[in-house]
Amino acid sequence: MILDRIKTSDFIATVGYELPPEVMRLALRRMREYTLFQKEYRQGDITSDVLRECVQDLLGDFRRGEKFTFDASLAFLCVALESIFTPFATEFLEDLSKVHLVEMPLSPGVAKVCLEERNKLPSNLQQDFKIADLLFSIGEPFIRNEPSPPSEAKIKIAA
Amino acid sequence: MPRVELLLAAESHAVDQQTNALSIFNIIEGTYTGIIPKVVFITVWKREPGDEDRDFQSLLRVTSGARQVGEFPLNFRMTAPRHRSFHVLMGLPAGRAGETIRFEVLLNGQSVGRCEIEVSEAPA
Repeated sequence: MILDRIKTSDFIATVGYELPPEVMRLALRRMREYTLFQKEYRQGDITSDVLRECVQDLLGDFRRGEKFTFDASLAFLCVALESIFTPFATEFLEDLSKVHLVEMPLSPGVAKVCLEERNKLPSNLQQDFKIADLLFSIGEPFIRNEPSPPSEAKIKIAA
Repeated sequence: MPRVELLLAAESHAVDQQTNALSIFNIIEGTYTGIIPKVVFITVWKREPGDEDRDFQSLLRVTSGARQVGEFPLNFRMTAPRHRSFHVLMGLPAGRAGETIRFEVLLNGQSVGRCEIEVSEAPA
């Protein structure tokens, strides 16, 4: 599973040196692991619960005063989740983007860039109108419009 | 003011919950007399400089032949570079054969676009 792969020292070494967040985002998107993640996600092998467990597992390794080993792994998850609009993905990116720790110089910046990209997507607003109660008078229809409350969602979030 | 990038009438639409991709099904270019159970009128707005976080009043005006069917308001804010408005009209009377149903979109009182669909006699 790709979530096991991103915890390995081999993967972290492959990510390489720290780059500016915008550049790191592009570099991570080009990795083979990014494609594998999307595939496993669409197949249902990666769920929000599985991701939550993975993130908790990674963060369990955090030690104050030591460079966080899995900073690159978290950065990868940011990029992988950028185009996935579940409550967990949104919460993960928003929470991580607010972190300011010397021990984690990479992933919060990447989270912020990914959030900026997400916010470029179109917003949606739908309103239903019931054109009901047709009353006929001298052969002509009279129509009253009954709007229902609008439903607004940046993205309709999957349950 | 936002610019209209796309406007059309269709039978239905779907927004992917995970990717926000918009799919439009069965664009309506013509219809038969009677009642159209459901029409979704889709307008895609493109943000222009100065539109950020501003409120806009959009109105969909529908006429069938010479008769006004109704005016359907839908206000929105340009919080993203693009915004999609979906007016879902349920039970739209198609009017008489040979007439045209016109969908006109107004933004802050100004007409910014329209599309028309022809009404034909329903087959026997």
